[in-house]
Amino acid sequence: MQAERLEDGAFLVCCRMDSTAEDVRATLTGINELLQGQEMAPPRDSNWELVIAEVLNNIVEHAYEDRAGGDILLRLVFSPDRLSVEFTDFGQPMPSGTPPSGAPVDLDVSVEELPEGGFGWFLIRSLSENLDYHHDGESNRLRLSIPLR
Amino acid sequence: MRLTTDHRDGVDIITVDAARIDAAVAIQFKDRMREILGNEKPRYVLDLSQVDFIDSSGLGAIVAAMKLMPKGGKLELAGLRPAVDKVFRMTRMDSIFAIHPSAEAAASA
Repeated sequence: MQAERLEDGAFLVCCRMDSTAEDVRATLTGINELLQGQEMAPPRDSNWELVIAEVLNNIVEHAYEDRAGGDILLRLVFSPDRLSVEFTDFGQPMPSGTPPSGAPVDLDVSVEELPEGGFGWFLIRSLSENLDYHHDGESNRLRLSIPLR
Repeated sequence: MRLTTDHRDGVDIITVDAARIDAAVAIQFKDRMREILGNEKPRYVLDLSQVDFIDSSGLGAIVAAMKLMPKGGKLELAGLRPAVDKVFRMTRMDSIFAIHPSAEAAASA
């Protein structure tokens, strides 16, 4: 994990992780530790960490089909009013060539039928902007930004 | 992932002794909840006051745990911190669970 302050005052963090839920957790915990005491640390209620976690979990689960040994690159630029993020992986492309629309789940069902998943893209889309996905034959690149204030 | 149980003021409280319920521990959480809920008490309160991060896998695991309750039984939540509360509100799961400000408040409810 590398971090540096850019000329415009923004805080850049770059990380590489393995395609496991454990490494995703370790990376997020590490980023939080780096941000402690930084003036660019986003407010907790922006839920920036949730957006990053959901995208990374999807890469582990779908692009790499829950197999360890895949590389995931993460580049974060923390500015005062927004966090810009770029995710790169070398796994399977998104099935339809675009990220899911993230419709809200249907809760008007019996308890037994309540959904235990399918919240991820709804949360990502609700909390982020300027989502852009590109597959170039070898890698998937997803960019998005998260308003912080 | 450590969960501890306690019987206070007539209520069975399950405390999550962890800061995160995420994809890395969702399965462990479900397994541990299955063990505890197997005691078949009619009402449990899940105290989340130490949890400051939950992702959709963690949310799904809590929903899965609720489905393990016997018919007529209740799994209620208490002590949601702001980031956790926001996930429940955004997904409208706050309409599915009874949510108390704290385990103490749940005991007197």
